[in-house]
Amino acid sequence: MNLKIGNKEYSSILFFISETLFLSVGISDILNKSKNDAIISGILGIILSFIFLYLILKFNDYERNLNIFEKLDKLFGKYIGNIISIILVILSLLYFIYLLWSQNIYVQNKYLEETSSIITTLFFLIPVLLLVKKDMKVISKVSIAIFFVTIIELLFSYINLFNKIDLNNYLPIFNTKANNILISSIKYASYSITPVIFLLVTPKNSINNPDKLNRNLYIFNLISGIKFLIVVSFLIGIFGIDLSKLFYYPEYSLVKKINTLNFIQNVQNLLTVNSIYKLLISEVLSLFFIKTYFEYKNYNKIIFYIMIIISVFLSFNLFNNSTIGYNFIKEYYINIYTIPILLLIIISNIKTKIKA
Amino acid sequence: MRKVFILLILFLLSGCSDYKELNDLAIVNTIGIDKKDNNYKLCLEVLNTDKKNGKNKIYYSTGKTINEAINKVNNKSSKKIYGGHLDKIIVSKDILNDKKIDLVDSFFRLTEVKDEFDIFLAKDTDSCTIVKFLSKNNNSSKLQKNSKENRSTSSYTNIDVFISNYLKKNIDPVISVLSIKNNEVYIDNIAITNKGKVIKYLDTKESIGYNLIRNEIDKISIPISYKEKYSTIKINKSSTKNKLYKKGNKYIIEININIDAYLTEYNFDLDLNKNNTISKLEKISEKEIDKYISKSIKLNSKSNFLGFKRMIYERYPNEKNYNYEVNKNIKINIKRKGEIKNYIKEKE
Repeated sequence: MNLKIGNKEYSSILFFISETLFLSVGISDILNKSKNDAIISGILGIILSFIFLYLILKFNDYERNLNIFEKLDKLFGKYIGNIISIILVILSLLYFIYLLWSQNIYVQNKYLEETSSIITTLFFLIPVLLLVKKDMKVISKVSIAIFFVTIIELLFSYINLFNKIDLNNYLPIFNTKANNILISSIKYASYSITPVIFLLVTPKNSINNPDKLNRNLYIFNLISGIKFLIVVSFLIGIFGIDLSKLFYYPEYSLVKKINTLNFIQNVQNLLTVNSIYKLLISEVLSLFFIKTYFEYKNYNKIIFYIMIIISVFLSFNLFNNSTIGYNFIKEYYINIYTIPILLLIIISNIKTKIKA
Repeated sequence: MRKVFILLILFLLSGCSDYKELNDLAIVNTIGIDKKDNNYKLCLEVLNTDKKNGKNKIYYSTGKTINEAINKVNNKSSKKIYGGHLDKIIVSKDILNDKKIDLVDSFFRLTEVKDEFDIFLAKDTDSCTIVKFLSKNNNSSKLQKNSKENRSTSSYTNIDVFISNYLKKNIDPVISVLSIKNNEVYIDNIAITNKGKVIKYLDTKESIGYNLIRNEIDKISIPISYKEKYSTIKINKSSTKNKLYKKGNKYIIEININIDAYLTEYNFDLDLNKNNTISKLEKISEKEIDKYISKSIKLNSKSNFLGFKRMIYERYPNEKNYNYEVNKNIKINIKRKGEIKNYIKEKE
């Protein structure tokens, strides 16, 4: 029996975590900044995301038998290594709280308007906790299964929307300041790649065929980028940029337009379930990251579960309203998450080179 | 522990606590919106789900906002008002003239309303009267179907197309018009709006010209004349390709229209069995179509409903000069003559 984690299965997690922040903030933010040139920003962003991903994977190649916490301890020494690990755990926890809040807003907005957020959160938390209790192998298997479901949903959605595109809506192009296009592409790379750091929680050698892991991760990053480009192209092509900019959940508004043969309609709730999937996988990964740290440090697991309970209650009142939450991520995500993680990765890569 | 989880899921996720049966929903088909004393006056045509009583029901309500008015209807109806199958909204001229285009905000904001409905303008009457007439004759959905199929004299104005054009620079969105004549509701050409205000109602020729230029024409019969006699061709397929290029200080907009048509009525004295007669008919038809298009282009100089300025903006976004000239190339191909080969003429 193969006890190692499947390579493609593990890589498929990247597809979901790199998409999570595009549920509401990401696409909307890029559309507002780059307008009709959002597609160009997307292409540049994908290129940047590969560079960012390359740096993370380079760090992952150091001491393949160790997880990220062990690597940090080895590179920076026990004391500094532990401080960095604690900062990463705090970031992961904050990310988890934000995801729960975001999930609440989304579910209440689109699916269960009248159901109390405590009930919806608890029921969504059940599969999350079940998966966190298992190991990365199970999480990866779930991820690849829902990846295929997501691809089928996407194919169905966008094939049905193809005839609604008006090519004139793409014009004028190259009419946005180069600065805005560049900022948008940086934001794309930031939103999509920063959470990948949590994937390093699993030692590379515990994955089947580790030499091919990087290639598969690049492929899934490319798939995620292509999906972003498709969504943005369809949004601009169907609604025009001025209307697209207004949508809070652009992907949902897009799928609402499906009307095939005059009887396949109102299928938006079914076809946007992938939004729940990506939230679910990201929640699982952020909690699994914290759980691994607790196991590594031999801390009492009760503290871990108490942290989850506190996080759930904090998530209900994380932001007063969706506007504050939206603006917070838009303004501070790069400063709080991307810059420190990028710095950590760059310093770590330099240190590994010096050590080698 | 796992079994407890499974049991919990089985019992607690088997249904939703706040689900609604279809019979408990009042499915709104049409909403008419008027304005009275700074209040919105709404009428909601609710589809009848009761087989015994065949007619749709209309609810009237007023409110400071659209949502307030709809909520008041909820108090009157035994069923919950549901907008997921909304087909159309009809607005009166006052609403648009009042720049209250933001009234659609509430329809876009609510998740349950699918923004696939059409928007119509009520001409010479209030929108609730039109809703009443539609409901009385039970032809609400028939009209909807006709408006989509006969796009030649009207314009199928889906709400998000209308709003998208409303938000765009350099184009005046058009809206389909409904009016009442001889106790019947009918689709009455197109109206041009600017910043949410109705600025002009188009006549039939201008409407056809608009649809031809915008490549939105459907099957339509066009009467043609020759030596004071009339015949009719029916446009079967039309394709318009607009090109733009710069010549000196001016933009040249080239409208290339290719039409496939067939003869549906023939009263000319020209022998249809001769090869050159069809060519002659095609030339006559092209001249006739040219009149429709020229009329629309002339009107466009006062407004911007054909979107020529938008076309220039899309290709040359930084230019401020919108001087343009329009060149028309119309090509009609009469492919069929119908069931008979020639005219029906008494022997001399």
